[in-house]
Amino acid sequence: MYTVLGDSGSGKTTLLKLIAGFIRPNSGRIIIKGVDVSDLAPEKRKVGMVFQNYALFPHMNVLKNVMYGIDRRNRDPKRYARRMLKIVGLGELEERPVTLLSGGQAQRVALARALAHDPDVMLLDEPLSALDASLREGLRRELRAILKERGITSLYITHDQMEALSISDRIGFLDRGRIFEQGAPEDIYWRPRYERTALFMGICNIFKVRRMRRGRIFTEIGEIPWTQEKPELVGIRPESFFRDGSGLETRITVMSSEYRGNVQVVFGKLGNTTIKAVLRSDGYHAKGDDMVLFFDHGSVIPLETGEE
Amino acid sequence: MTRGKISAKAYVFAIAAVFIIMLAVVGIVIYLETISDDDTHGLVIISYTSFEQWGLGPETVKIFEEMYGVNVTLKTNFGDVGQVLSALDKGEYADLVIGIDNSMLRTALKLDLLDVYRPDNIDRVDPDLIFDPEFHIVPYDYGYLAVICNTVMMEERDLPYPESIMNLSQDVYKDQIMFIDPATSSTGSSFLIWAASVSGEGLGEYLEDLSESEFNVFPTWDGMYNAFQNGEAPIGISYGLDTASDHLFTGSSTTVTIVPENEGYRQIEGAGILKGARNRDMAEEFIEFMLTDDFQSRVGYNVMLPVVPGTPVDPIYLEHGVWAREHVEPTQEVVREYYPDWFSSWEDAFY
Amino acid sequence: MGKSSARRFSGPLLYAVPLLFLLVFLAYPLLVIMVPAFTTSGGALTLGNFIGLLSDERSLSIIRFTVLQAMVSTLITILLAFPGAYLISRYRFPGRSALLSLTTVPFVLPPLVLGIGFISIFGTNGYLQSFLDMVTSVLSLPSPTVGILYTKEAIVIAHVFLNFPLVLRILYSRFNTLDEDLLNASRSLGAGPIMTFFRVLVPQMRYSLVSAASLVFTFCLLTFGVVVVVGGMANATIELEIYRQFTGIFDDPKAGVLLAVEMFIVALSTGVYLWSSRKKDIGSRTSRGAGLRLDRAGSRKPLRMVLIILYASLLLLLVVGPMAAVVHDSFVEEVEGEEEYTTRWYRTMLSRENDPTIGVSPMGAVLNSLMFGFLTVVLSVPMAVITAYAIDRRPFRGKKLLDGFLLFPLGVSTIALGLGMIKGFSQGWPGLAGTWIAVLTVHTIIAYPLGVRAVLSVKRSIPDDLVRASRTLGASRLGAFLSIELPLLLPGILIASVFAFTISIGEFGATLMVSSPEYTTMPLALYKFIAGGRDFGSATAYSTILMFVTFTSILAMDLMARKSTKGEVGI
Repeated sequence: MYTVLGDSGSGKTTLLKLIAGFIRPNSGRIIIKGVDVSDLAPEKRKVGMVFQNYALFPHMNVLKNVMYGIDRRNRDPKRYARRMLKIVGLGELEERPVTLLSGGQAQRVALARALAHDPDVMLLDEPLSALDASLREGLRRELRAILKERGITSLYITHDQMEALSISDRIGFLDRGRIFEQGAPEDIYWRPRYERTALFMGICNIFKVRRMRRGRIFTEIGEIPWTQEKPELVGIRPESFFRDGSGLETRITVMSSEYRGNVQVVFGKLGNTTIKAVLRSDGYHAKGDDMVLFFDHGSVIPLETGEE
Repeated sequence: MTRGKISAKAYVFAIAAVFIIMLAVVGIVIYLETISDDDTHGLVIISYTSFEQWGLGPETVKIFEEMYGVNVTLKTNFGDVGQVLSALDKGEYADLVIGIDNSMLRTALKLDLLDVYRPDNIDRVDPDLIFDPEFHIVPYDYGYLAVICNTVMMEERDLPYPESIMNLSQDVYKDQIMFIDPATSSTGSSFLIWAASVSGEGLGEYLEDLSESEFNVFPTWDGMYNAFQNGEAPIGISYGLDTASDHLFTGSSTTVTIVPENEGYRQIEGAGILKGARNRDMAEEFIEFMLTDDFQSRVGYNVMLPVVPGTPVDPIYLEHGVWAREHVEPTQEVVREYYPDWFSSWEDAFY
Repeated sequence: MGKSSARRFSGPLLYAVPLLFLLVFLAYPLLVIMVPAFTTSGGALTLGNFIGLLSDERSLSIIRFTVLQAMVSTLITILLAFPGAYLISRYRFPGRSALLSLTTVPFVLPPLVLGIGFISIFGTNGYLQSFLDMVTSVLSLPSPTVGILYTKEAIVIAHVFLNFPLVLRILYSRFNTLDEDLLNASRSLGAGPIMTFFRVLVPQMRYSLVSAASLVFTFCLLTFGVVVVVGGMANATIELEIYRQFTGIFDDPKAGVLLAVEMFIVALSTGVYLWSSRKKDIGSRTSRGAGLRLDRAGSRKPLRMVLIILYASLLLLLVVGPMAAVVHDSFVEEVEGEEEYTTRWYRTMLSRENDPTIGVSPMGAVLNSLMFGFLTVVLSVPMAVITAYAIDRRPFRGKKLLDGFLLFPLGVSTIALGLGMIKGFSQGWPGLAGTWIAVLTVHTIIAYPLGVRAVLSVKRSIPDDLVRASRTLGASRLGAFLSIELPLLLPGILIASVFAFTISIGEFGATLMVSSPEYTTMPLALYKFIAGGRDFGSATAYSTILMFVTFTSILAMDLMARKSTKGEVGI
C-alpha cells in the first residue's frame, strides 16, 4: 500500500487519472506489472478504483454494482460477487438499492466492486474523507487488511496524515506534481527530510539555521550542539517539549493554552516566531506568563527547504 | 425503485429495439403510401377547395374520364386561387390549373406559369367574358361580386341596405362589414378592383372611409363566409348567387345579396395549361371539354354562371340570383398597370 | 493518438451531428428568405432595403405593434400571475394540487384550439355575449355588443390566456425555493409585511421574473395561429405579415427585412431568457430547504380566502374556459334559431372519408399527426442527447456562440422556417418540399431545443465519477454510456420525448407552409375547418378530438415515465 500525501492542487487526482488512463501523459510511461499501459484505454488496464463519493451506480442494486466489472469469462459472476461482498462484510445486503446504503456500507460496496474486477492495481482516491471520524478508523483497518490479504498493490490518496501513517507500507509526498520525498512511515515520521514533509507530519516548529560554528548551530530557538553537516532548517515536534527536564531549554511567552483532555496545547511566542508545544494536561498556563520548555537534543530534526 | 431482474443493459436494448421496430413499421407504411401516390399517369388538375368540395370537379372529371379513358387527379387542398398560385410557384406539379380569375391573371403572368392555348370551340363563349385575348386563360364560369347582408342582424341593428358599394363607407356601417385581404384572396383582390372601378380617382379616400366600416379583414373568402354564417357580423363581400344557393341547398335564406345595377363586377374564372405540363394534349382536351354542355351545365355547382350563352341554368338561380345591367370590369392592361397603386391604397387605408 | 478505442466522445463529432442538421434545415431556409433582403436584384450586397424599411410607415407600424402587444401581454400576464403564484405557494387550500397540474395544460394545448375557444367565448354569438345579454335583460338594460374579437386587444387577451398558466408555474417554482429565513430576518429587523414584500421578497424573484417575462415576450412575438384567427389580417404582427407577403406572392425583400428585424428582437429576448434562467438567485435554498412554509392557518383569513378563490377562478377561467367552450359548442347545433344538442359534428369528424377541405379524412389527419409526433420523438431525442453531450463540455473559444446557435430554434419564426424550406428546396431538390421529410425536419428542428434543456439538466446531475468508475471496471466509453449514463438520463429523455411529441402535434405555422394535402396534420385540418369549412361545429368537434388525442398521449407518456423513474417527471 503506497500512500500519496499532498495538499489540494498538488496533483493527486491527476496522478490517479494518469494511472487509470483518463489522461495521457505528455512524456514518460506508465508501467503496470511490467506492462507499458501508457497507450491503453482505461477499460483495458486492469485497475480498480475506489472514489471519494463511492460512485456507485444508482440504478443498480448492490449485487449488480459488484457484478459490473467481473470478467466476461467468469462462469459464475454472481457467486464471485457474493464472495466479494462477504469479504467486505456485506453478505446480506445484495438486494438493496445503493441509494439506501449508509456511508460506510457504500464504501465497502465500492471496494467489493473494485475487487471483483480483479485489478492489478488498486487506486483509492480519498475513500474515507466523506465518512464520519469514528467510521474512518475502523474502515481504515479493514481496507488495509483486505488489500494486504489479497496482495493487491494499492495507491492510496489522502491528505490525512494519520490515515497515511496507519495504513501505508510506503508514503510519498506530492507537491506541484512531483514526489519530493518518500519512505516507510516510521522513517518519514521520525526522520523527514524536507520541510514540507515535516509540516505534513505535524512538525510545525521549524527554525532557520543561521550559522554553524564549532559544533553548534545557531537558530531562533537558541544554540544546539550539532555534530553533522549544517542543516538549512531544524524542526522540533510539539510533543518533544516538556515542562521540566534537563538539556536544552527555551523561554516562551504564552499566547494561548488549550485543554484537550489528554494534553495541553500551548502556543508561545519566542522572539519573532511562534512555538507550539503539546504538554501533559496537568498544568495551567495563563496568557502572558513566561515559561520554560525543555527539549532533548535528539529530538531536533534537520530539514532541507527543498527549493531548487 | 425496484428494477426487478432486468439489467440496465437489457432495458436499454429493449427501448432501442422498440424504437427501431416502430421506425421500421412507420417506414414501411410511408413507403407503401409513396408508391401508391403515382401522379405521372393521367391528367393532374390543380384548383381550389370548393371546386372539388362542391361537386363541380368530381362530376365533370368523372364524365371526362369515361369519355377519354384517362385518369384524372384533382389537387384541391387550397382555400383560394392565390394559394394555388403560391403552391405552383413553389414547385407543386400540375398540368392544368382551374380557377385563375381576372384579378389573379396578372400575378399568374408575373410568375410565368402559363402556356398559351386557344381552344377550337372558343367561339361558344360570350366574347364579353374573354378577358385574356392572348389565351393564357380560357374562361369557364363567372359570378357577380356582391354585398351580402344577414337579414336578421340588419333588422336587429336597424341598418339600411346599401344601394351602391360607395354607400358602404358611410358612418352607419361602422364596424359592420367583413372584408377580405386582397393579398391572400382572389375575392379580396376582385373586390379591390371593383372598388377602384366604381370610385375612380377617389379610391384612396373611399378606402379610408371604408376602413371605418371594417369589422375584420379575413385572410380568405372561406373564413369570411364561415364567420358570416355564424352571425359574427351583418355584412360581407361575396357573390351574387349566394342567396340563390341557400335556397337551392336548404330551401330558405337569411341572406340578402346586393349587386348594384350599374356597378356589376364580374369575377370571371378561367383555366390554363401550365408550363412544363407533361400531359399537354390531355389538358387541351379538358379545356375544350369545359366549354361543352356537359361541363357548362354544371357550373351551377360552383355557384357561378356559365360562359356559354344559352346553357340551361337552375331555375332557382334564375329566381333568386342577382345581377347587374352594366358592368365595370377594367381591361387587363388597366389592371396590370394600376393594381399596385390600388393595393397600396388599400394597405394605407386598412392597416 | 494511440491504438486504443475512443477515450471520450469526440467533441467535434458530437457537435457535427446537430450542427449539420441545423445548417441544412434551419440556417439555409432562413437565409433563403433573408438573402433577398440584403441583395439587389443584380446580386450585389446592399442595405438599401433596410433603409427603405425606415421610411415604410406600414412596416414600421407593424414592427411597433408586434413589440407593443408583446410587451403589454407580458406585463399583464406577469401582474396577474405574480400574486397568484405567491398565494398558491404560501397557502394550503383544497384543490391546490389540482390547480397546479392545471397550469401545465396550456403547455400541451395546441394554440389553435385556444383560438377557437376564444371565438367560442368572445364571438358575436359567444358565451360572453349570451351572458351579458342575460344579465342586462334581467336588469332591463340595453345589452352592449361584445366587440373584442378581431381587435388588437383580442390578441393581447389571447396571449394572456396562453401564457398566464406558464408564468404562474415558473413563479410558483421559484417561490418554492425561497429561503424563508430571509423573510423572517427582515421581519425581526423591524420591517412590516409590505416592506418585506417589496424590499426582500421581490428582489429575490428578480431572475425568475426576468426569465418568465422574456419567455412570454418571445412567445408573443412569434405566435402565428392565434394571431390570424383571433385578430384578423388588419392587426398584423410581423409573423402574419411575412406570411401575407409570401402567400400574396410579393415583394420578397420586404419579407426578408421584416424577418431580419424580428429575428434580431427575438435573439435578444431569447438571449435574456437563456441567461436569466441559468442564474441561481442568491439566497435560494438548496434542495434541502423547504422554501416558503405552507401556512395552513393563514388561509382561513377571510381576505386571503377571497383572494385565493379569485385566483383559482381566474386560473380556471383562463385555462378551462376556452376548452370547455369548445367542447360544449361541439355538441350544439343551431336548428331554426334554437340550439339543440347533437352528435352530428362528431359523426362527420370521425368519418374516414376524404374531406377535400383538408385533403385527407379527418381521422386521417389524426393518424398523420400521431405518426409525425412519433417520428419527431425518434429523431429529436437522439439529437437532443447528442447536443446535450456537446454542450456539456469544457469551454473553448466561441463555445457560447456555438451552443447558442444549437439552441437557436427556441426562438425561430415558424412561418419563415416553413417558407424557407419550400423556397430553398423546391428549386434545387424538387420533391422535398411537400414531402413528409420536410414536415418531419421542421417539427424536429422546432422540438429538439426544449429536449436539449431537459436532457442537459438531468445529465448535469450525474456525477462524473460514475463514468470513470465504470471504465475502470472494464467498460468502454460507449459501454459506459449505454449501461450507466443512458439509464440515468431516462427521466430527461422522457421529458424530452413528451416535449417533442406535444410540440409536433400542436405545430401549425411551419407545417402549414410545408405540408401537402396527404400529410395534413390535425392543427392544419383544424385551421382549414375554421377558415374554410362551412361550419363552426366541425371545427369545435375536431378541436375536442385534438385535445383528447393530445391529453391521452401525454397521460400515457407520463404513466410510462412514472413507471421507469423514481417519481414524477415534472415540466
